[in-house]
Amino acid sequence: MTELNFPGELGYTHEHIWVRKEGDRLVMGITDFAQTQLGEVVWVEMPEPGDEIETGSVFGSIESFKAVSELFMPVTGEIVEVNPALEDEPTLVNTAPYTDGWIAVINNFDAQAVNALQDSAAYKTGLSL
Amino acid sequence: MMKLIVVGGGPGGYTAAVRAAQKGYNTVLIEKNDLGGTCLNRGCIPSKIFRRSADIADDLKKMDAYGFEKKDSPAFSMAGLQARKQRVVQTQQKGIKGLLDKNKVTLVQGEAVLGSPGQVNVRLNSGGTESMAYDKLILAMGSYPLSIPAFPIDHGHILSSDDVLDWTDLPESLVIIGGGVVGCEFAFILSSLGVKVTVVETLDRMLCLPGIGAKTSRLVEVSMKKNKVKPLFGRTVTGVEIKDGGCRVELAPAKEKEGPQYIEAQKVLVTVGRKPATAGLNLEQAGIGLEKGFIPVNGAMETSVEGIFAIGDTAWAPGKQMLAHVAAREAEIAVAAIAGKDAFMSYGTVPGGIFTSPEIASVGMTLVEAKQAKLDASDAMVMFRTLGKIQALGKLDGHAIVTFDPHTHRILGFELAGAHATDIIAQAALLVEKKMTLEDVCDTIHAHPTVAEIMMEVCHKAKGTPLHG
Repeated sequence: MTELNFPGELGYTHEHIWVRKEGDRLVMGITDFAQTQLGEVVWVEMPEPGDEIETGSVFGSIESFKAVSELFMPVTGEIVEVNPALEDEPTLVNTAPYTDGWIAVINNFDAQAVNALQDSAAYKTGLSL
Repeated sequence: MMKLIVVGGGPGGYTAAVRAAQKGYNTVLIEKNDLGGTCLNRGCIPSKIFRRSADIADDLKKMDAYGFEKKDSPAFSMAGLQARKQRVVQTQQKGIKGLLDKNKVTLVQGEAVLGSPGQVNVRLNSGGTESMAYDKLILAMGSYPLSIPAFPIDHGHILSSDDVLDWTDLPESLVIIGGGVVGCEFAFILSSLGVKVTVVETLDRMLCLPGIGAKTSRLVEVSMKKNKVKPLFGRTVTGVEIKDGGCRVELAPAKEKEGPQYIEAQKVLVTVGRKPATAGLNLEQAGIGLEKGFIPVNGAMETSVEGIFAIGDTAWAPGKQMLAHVAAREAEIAVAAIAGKDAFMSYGTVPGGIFTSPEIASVGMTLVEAKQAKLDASDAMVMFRTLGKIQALGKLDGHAIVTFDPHTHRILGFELAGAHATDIIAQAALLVEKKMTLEDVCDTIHAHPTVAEIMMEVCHKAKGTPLHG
């Protein structure tokens, strides 16, 4: 099995979402572990910009040839942008989960809640890999 | 010989007439329009003809995935679809006429009005009136689309499903008010054919119907997004303004302190329900009381007036749904009761099919419904994509859910969403009707590779012996 990658500068949730702070924006996507488990992604259901979603609520879903999985909000916030490239090329989630395969950007989030998320070491330990 | 009159030539009425004639009764069927009723002329069948063209459109969009080169994309014309619709519907109408003739049912084309007891007066389509005597009467007039005052159907901009089924051109955009069966079916069909569709549903999910649980509603909403339909639920339409040749649909505010929102669309389709066609028949003068326009009946489909029966969309009994196959079953019950049999209509096992993309079908109870009925129940779910046949078809979307008694393993209900779901619901209906168990399904060899294997997979999962799912 190829070594999974969990960049150190990101925050992680137990539901396999990563987040990256970029000023007042929070970019998010699914982790390398999640994309490996799903296999080839065929569709990503994304939220609508303007949606205000609470921590733990479903903000979308992701489908592969073999599975369907709901996506859970890492912290409360407002969706301000979704990745338009995923509509035609959902496999970006597989090939570049932390870069081109990002899913959405949120705004108006609680920075402390972001800081409280797991770091890469804790997330990796939790996976018991 | 017993004289029997049936009013209405839809799936309820013509089934009743044929069954009555087969029993040797002197049977007359009165129909003012085309034979086949809503089902054949303005419902089930024409909408499936639309669905078929939409399926082809969907396949063409993905043709490259199946080895076809995407060159010179074929152009679609509504005129071509309408021509096919006409051919299919007329063939079926002739089929019903042939069935009536073969069974020696007399067809009278005209409008029935109840006269003095034992008498029906018919305003003949050919002119004049005819008075006819009966010993037994079966009322099966059907229903028509419901229009409500906030956005009355005008057949120009604000339309009913009848209007859409006669379209010769497609609008660019459409708002559908009502996310029930008809609204959801049209949303998928018309979007596949190129119309920009928004569906507005007042309740908090699409297809909030008996037998359909929240997981299936969620799948429909996700599928809508995949098919470029915009689903809005928990939202109420407060009015429609016709402006500059288009429609401006007003939605009540989504949140407090916000103003109303507006959606612009070329046309609006209203799918908020159907109304029984009971007006103008002098029913109340004949002593038949109506409830919200429907004719209440007992378990033998008999009205409050002895010898007068009602079936199909015009009849009301607790727990019934307005469906063609319910009407046909009620027809069998009514005729059996007239023949002196101990017949009783049960609405406990009524399968339903919804021709969205993917298709949805259900029978019996969901877990929530079973718990509301104070039954000890569990459920289990598997995804359609676990099947080889589904992978080969390339139509991955879907799930099967079984509701069952965890102690006896008796099957209480099924929800199927996925390719060919409506074709395999018959097995599920038999299992529920005959009170069969998870083991009955698991011990039956299911042919491979078929979509029906999903039944075995979900029952294994429920039993705690999952294989693929």
